[in-house]
Amino acid sequence: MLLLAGTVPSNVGEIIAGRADFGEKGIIRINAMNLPLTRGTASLVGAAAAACRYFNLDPPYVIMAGDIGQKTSGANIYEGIQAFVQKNRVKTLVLHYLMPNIQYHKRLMAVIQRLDPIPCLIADAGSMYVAKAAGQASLYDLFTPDLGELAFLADDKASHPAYTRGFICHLEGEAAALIERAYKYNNSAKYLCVKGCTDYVCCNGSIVEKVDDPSVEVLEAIGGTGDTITGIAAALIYKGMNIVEACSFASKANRWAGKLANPNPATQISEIIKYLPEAIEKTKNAWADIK
Amino acid sequence: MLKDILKKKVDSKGEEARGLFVFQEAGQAIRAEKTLKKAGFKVRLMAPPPHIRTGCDLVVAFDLIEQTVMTRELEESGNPPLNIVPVSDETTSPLELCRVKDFGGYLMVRAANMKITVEKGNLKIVNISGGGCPDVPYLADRMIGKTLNECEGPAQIGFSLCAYTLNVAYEEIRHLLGGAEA
Repeated sequence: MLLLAGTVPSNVGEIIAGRADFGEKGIIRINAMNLPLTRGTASLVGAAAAACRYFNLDPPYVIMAGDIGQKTSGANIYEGIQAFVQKNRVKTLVLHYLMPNIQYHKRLMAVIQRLDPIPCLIADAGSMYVAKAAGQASLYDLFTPDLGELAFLADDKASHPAYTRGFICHLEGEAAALIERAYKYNNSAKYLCVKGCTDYVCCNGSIVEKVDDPSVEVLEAIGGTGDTITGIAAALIYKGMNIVEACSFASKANRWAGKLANPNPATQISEIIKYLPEAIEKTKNAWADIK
Repeated sequence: MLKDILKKKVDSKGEEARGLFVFQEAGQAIRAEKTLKKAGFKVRLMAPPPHIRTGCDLVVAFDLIEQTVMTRELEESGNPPLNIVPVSDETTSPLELCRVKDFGGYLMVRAANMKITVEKGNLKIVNISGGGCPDVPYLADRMIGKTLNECEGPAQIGFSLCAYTLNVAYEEIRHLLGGAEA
C-alpha cells in the first residue's frame, strides 16, 4: 500500500482517511467527497493518484487532518498514522504537511522502525523539517526539498528553514555543495530530489542525475508544483521503480505537465494536475526510448 | 533568579541581560513582537533554545529589565506569554534575506522557503509557493486573488514559522511594488 499523510486547510481537526481516486478532469475523490486541489497535501495526493491510475496500481490511501496552522491536527494525525501502519502493510509512506513536532515525530519513528519490513520512507514539507530538527533525517529514504529547503538541510544549526543562516546561500550554482554538506552532517535522507530550475537527484550526498528539460521557468512561482513531483515519485517507488529513476521520471513528467498547461505565474496547481496523465504518457514514451 | 542572571550578565559581559517570551504557537510570537514594537520596546523574534524547541516555533527576545512592563503590555493585548525564560547563547534569528525574480508582468519574492508572486499592473497576489507548515495552503486561500492593499498579511492571519517567513517576502514585495503601509 502507498500511504500519504498530511493536512488540508480546514480548522476542523477531524481525520479524513480513505482511498484517493483520480477521476475525469483531474478531480480527486476520497470516500465519495471531492478534494479541492489546493497546494500542499492535496496536490501531493492528486499527483500520486494520477500516477497510480496511469500505471494501474491500487489508489493511494490517504490520512489527512484539517489544520490551518493552529495545531488542530495535533497528536491525532501522528497517532492515526501509527495505528494504521501497525495494522496494514504499507510499502511506501509519504509524510507531508504535518505541523512539526519533534516528540510526536520521534514516537512515530519508533513505531515505524519496529515494522517488518520498514516501508520506504519519504518526507517533504513540514515532515522533512521535523525529521531534520529531531536528528532523524537518516532514517528516511527520500527527501524532496526545494533550494531554500536544501539550504536549511545543509545548515546543521537550523531547526526550521526560517533559521537558515545567511552565509548558507540558496543559489542554484551551489546545490552540489549544499547537498554534500547536508549529507555530511546527517541531515539528509539517503536520497534527495532537489526541486528547482534544474532538478537534482542525489544519492549519499552526490548528484547522480540532473533534469532540466523541458524548462518551464514560471513553475517556480506556482504553489504545489513541488508537491506534485513528490506525489509522482512516491507512486513510482511504490510501483517498484528504483528511487533515482522514480525521481528523474517524476521530475520530467512534472515539467511536461507544466508545459502542456501553458502556464503563467498566476496559474494554479489544479490546472497543471489535469495534464498529469498526458505528461506521464509522454515521459514514459521518451523513457522507453532512452532506457 | 532572574535578578541574579541579570546581574551576572551585566557584570561579566557589560551587556544587558535578555529573556525570552515563549508562546504556544509562532503566530502569537509574531503578534507579540508587533504589539511590543508598537509600544516602543526593543524586541526581536528568535529561535528558541533546543531544550524548549518543538520544531516550528518562535520566541520574542527582550531586555530583562523591562520584563514586568512588557508582560503587562502583552496581557492587556490579550496575548500573554506561555512562559518566560532567560536567554541562552543557543538562539538564532530568523532569516530576513529576500531574492527577487522578475517574470515581466509579475514579480516573485522569495524569503528562505517561501515565495509570493504579484501581478505588477494591479498588485494582485497570484501565487504563494513553498513552505511546509499546515497554514501555508490556508494563507494561500486567504491571500490569492486579493491585492497587496486589501489583504491581511501573513503575520496577522498565520500561525507558523512559514507564515513568518512568508511575511518577510510579503513586506518586501509591498516595499518593491508600493503597496500601502501595513
